[in-house]
Amino acid sequence: MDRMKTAIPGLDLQQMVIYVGFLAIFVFFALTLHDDGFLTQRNLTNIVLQTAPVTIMAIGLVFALSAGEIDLSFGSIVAVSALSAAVVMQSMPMFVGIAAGLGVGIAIGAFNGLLVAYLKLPSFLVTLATMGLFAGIARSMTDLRSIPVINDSFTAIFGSGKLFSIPSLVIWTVLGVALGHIIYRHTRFGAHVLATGDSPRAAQVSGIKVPRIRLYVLTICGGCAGLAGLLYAGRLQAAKYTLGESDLMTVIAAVIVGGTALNGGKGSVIGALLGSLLMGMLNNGLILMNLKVSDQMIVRGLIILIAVAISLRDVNR
Amino acid sequence: MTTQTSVLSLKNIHKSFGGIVAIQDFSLDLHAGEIVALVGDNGAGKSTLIKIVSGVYTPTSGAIGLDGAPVAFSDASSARARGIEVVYQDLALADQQPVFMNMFLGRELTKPPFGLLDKTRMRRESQQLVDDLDVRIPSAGSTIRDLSGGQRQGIAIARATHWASKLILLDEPTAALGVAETARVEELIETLKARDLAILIISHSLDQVFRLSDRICVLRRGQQIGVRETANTDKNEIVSMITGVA
Repeated sequence: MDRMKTAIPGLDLQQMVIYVGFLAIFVFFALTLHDDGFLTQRNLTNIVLQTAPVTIMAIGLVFALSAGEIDLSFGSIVAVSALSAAVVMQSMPMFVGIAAGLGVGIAIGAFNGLLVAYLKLPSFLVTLATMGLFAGIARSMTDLRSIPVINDSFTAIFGSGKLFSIPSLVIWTVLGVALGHIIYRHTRFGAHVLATGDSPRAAQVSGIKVPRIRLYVLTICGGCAGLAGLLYAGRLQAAKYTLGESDLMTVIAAVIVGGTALNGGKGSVIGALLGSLLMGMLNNGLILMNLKVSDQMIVRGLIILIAVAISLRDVNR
Repeated sequence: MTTQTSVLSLKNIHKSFGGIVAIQDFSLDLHAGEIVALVGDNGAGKSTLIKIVSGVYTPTSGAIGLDGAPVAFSDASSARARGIEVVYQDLALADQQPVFMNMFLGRELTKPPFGLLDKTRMRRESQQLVDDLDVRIPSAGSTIRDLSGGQRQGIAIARATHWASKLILLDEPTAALGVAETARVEELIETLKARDLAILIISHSLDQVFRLSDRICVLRRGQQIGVRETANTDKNEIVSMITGVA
């Protein structure tokens, strides 16, 4: 019963990495890309705008990972949701399109969740399969064609619009992070998600309905991916099967670097926000450095590798 | 030291799984402020019995009474709602969460108007509880995995104490602990007795059983061999009851 065992309270290596890493990369780009416009308000705003869908997906993934599950299918959900909204809006009012986009995301998430929670299948394999399944469906939905989104209110709400001169994508990001953070840290549901990922047995004998938590977190993931799909469609004013295709690694990296444990029981929504901003900044900076796409991929991969290695080190102590 | 009312009464409990009889004809009364030890070899039926009392299993036949009234538990939650708490051998703690969240796991306190978690109150009440029970931990905000085995056991017992109004079942509470930590946990169990809770303890350590218990109940292959007042028996008798060798 020695009191010395606990380290300095509040000092958590994993939680620190994201702040230090974020600052380090920011300062590095600020110095090296000073003449290339990295520090301009326009460029920094752009980073936030481009990152919005990734941040929303990352919030969903924080819930899934914290409950000890994973979702690999959210990229495909993004495409199916965006295409559903776009197709519906060709003939129907905007709110039907929004409902279709979000509804499809939630439904696919719930489908994943039901398979995981009640058929007791591992989420890694279920969502690996549904990733392929819905990527295929996204391709066949419109025969690989891109569907334009010409509804002005829609593109304003989910894309280029502003409210009190704040870009709507910034509002979505702030709303998503605030709501996600409150649910994650300050509700019984959030506590039950963490307990389920930490120790399913402890959760279960404490009366927590563990399967239901698993269903809910994967449904949340699907819903977040659906919203991300709307944000892509709004910003690009079109929906295509390629939307979300390349986000899988970015989102997982953002969440892990942001201090969420891969094996459950621990995480941070704020960290995930910083993680996705870090990824966005990296993208932006490497493009401004005039690196070839292949070199960008190599550098980004290496930086993610280093960041993930540092942020996961503490788990294996 | 025992009062008239029996907190828990088990009458002619049978439990079989298919053709296999796990418990046959088990009867026992537990009183407030009393510690009864359940002893027996591996596979004697101790765990099955604990699961019956905690609502995990429904007995095949027989009657369970709480404070003299018959009860039937549909699951563990319904037993918990009636004031029965279990300290599991594996403790059932969420290691990466703070002490106070474990203390209130599944029964978190919330505050109006939005029903958000009342962490301040949970932390305060947890701190109060561990102080009252003299479980020495750095603070109610400490993470479980930063605590020693004895401290974790202390938290699990404190949690059960907080929620139990009648009965605590302890499954091998000191199996994984060293000598000093075992002594601390045994002191803690003594304080529960002073709180007028009935305690049913499973232990493989006969020394511990003799130190703690008021009565000893022996099981062998699902059969109740007998119940003895701890003061009026000795280890030889209990060992021969456990093994069936005179």
